[in-house]
Amino acid sequence: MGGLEIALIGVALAVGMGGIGSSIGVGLAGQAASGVMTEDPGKFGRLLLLVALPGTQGIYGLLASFLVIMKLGLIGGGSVVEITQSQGFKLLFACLPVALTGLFSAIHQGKVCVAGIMMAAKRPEEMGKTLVLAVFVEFYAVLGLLITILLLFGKL
Amino acid sequence: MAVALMQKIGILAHIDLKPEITGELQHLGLLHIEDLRDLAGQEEWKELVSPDEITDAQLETDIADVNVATDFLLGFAKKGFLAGLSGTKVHLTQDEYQSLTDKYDWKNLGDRCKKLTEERKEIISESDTLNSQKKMLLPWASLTVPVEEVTSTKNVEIFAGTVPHHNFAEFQKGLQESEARYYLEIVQAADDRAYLVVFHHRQDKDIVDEILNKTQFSQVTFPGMTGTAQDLIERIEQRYDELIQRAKGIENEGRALAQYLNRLIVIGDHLQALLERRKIPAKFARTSKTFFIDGWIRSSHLPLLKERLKEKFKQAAVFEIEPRPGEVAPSDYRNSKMVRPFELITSLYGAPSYFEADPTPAIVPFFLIFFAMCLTDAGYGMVLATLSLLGLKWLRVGANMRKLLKILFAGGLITTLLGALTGGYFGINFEELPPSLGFLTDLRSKIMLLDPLKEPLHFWIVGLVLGYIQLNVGVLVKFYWNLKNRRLLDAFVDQVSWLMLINSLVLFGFAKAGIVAGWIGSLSMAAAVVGAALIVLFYQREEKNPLARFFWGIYGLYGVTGYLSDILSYTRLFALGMATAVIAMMVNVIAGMVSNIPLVGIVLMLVVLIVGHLFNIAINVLSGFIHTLRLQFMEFFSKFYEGSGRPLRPFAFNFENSVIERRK
Repeated sequence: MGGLEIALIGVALAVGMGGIGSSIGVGLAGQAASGVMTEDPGKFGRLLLLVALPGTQGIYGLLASFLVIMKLGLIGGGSVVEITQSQGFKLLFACLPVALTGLFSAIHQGKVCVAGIMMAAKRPEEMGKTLVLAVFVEFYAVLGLLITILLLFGKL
Repeated sequence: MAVALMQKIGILAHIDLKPEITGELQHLGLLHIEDLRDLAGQEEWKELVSPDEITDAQLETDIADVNVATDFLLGFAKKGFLAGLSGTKVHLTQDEYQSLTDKYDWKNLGDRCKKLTEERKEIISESDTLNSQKKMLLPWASLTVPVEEVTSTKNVEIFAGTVPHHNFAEFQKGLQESEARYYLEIVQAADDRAYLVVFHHRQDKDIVDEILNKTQFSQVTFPGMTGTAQDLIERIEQRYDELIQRAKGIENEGRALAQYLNRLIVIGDHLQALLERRKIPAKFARTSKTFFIDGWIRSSHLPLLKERLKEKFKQAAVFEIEPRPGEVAPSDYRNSKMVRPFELITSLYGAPSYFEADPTPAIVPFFLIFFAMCLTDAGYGMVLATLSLLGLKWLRVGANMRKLLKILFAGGLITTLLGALTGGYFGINFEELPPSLGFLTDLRSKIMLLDPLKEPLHFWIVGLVLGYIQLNVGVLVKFYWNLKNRRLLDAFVDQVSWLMLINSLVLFGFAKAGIVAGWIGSLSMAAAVVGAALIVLFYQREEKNPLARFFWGIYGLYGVTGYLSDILSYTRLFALGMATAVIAMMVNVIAGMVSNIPLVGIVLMLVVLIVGHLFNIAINVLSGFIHTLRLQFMEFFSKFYEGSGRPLRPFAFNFENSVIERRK
């Protein structure tokens, strides 16, 4: 396998795992929110935030994949960058932090959001606190993204 | 920094004045009334308070009626997506409110809406019944005899029913092979079942029943129906059309009545406030001739209250009293107009207690700068500022939403500034601009201090340094507050020690790295040791056992790691800022790609640009806001703020769904 193909595994993993995590997380939160809205459809606006929150990991993954695609010169003008197998592996590994943290943190953030939605159903005035709790989980995806970005911007 | 000064007062008056005085207090909306029933356990209060709730049955029914009517009309009101999202409220002036509550006879409207609601419910339930009847009758449509004639005679049992398709052959064969005298009329074969009318001699009942059971025959009856199935279906359809017409009538009337929805909403809020007024005396203490109100008021509001009550009520006395032992005043913010919106953020965490510093002024600069760092795009900042300004102007939202919009507006402005300093404008890659626009590139680089995409590490460090400053400010606030409240030992041992230790360690690091002179390094090492010693010696100063105290102190030093992780937590600013910039770039690249599509390229490009950038703004404003919140709550507040106060909640006209605008 050439370097390009290996790097593309990284692209697929970053966007795929982040996307899987986010879809599970948003899915969980969405179900809970629908449940709450059967009682009170007026809460839609408030709950929307909590449902959307686990979606960011997917975006982080997309972002990392996009950076690799740009780095490889696959889109835009100019030719595809020739890379060695070793460089391909480097790009693959650089994608892993955001992929792994995205996958797991989105699922767990989704669970926190579900609990938050339950709380918001009973005590809507306390919703800000739930948002903050959910962000605690997301921080680790942010860290993963950070390292991925640093690696991709670095001297690879 | 400090919360507003509170005064505890008591109001003692003749019992006949109770309705007027509570009314006046509600109009003033200044007094936080304490629930004296909480003191029922104490001997001297026991006789004076009664645990019973007070209510007003008439008001409660009225409120229920208004709610039913409001719910009915809400279904017909046009409400935009944005309005629904931001929770708009009814805005009206004091005069409009006055004339509405004085003169408007809402009962007619209320009764009409209630009646329509009930009628609609009946229509729905009747049409449900009709639907299921029709569904049941449809397969029998080709039965030519009236359904009431499908009934047994003296010697012949006649009944209708269905058999599953896969059993039909068995059913038929069973009957043929048996000795039963029977006749079968097959009406219809549909949805996996055969629809039949069975005739058989009464004497053969046992044989036939056995076959019927074996083949899962299920009998169908037509209770209370007359005429052929076809006639029945036609009648049902006719009735159904009538119902639809009536439902349309209700719908039209509802739509016409929806213009009065806002009035009803205000009336609902008004009645609720009146109910509150009826209920509040349950919190008072009373004797047979007098009643006593116990409450808190901002000291600055006290003269007004005294004056009003004295003017209107001769037999009422207002006097300042001492708080009971252990009683803490409720707290209320006292901030300048610029800072006030940010009270929203502090309240989200918890209001300051009466003896605590109000952190709101301290979070304003940090919140805005951190929020801006999560966006770092001048274009986005301008969009955000414009949108929130439009929102402030056009959206009729409640007070809290207005505060949020104000924060976002300020955040947008700072983002514009910070975006210009970091050269971010809708993620445009200035190196790819055509040479004719070169002057823009020059302009950008003249303003720009740092390009995060070129020097990510520097951008990261900027975030960490800002975080470091915020942590120091946090400790300093606590230091100042301890000094102000004459807790000198605490100030020096808990705050100065840490300030010395942390800052000296940083300076020492700088000296090692050759950034500052070596002698500063040695000096700061000494300062760090002093700081550390203070922490070790005084961390657990209540501990009697010197050895235990020492080891607790060592443990206290472990707090250094806490500071380290706090500072690293500001990494999120960098990561989120980069994320915004890269997604913006991505949107532009995709837009550039679709622009090459023939014919529709330009349109598609515009769509991608607008939708993409708005989406990016939305998600990054959301996550930027929340992550910035977290930095305030976790990293900053943990240094000096508890937020365990109980907010001042004056007895007033508190409206849930409407806002009375003050006269300008």
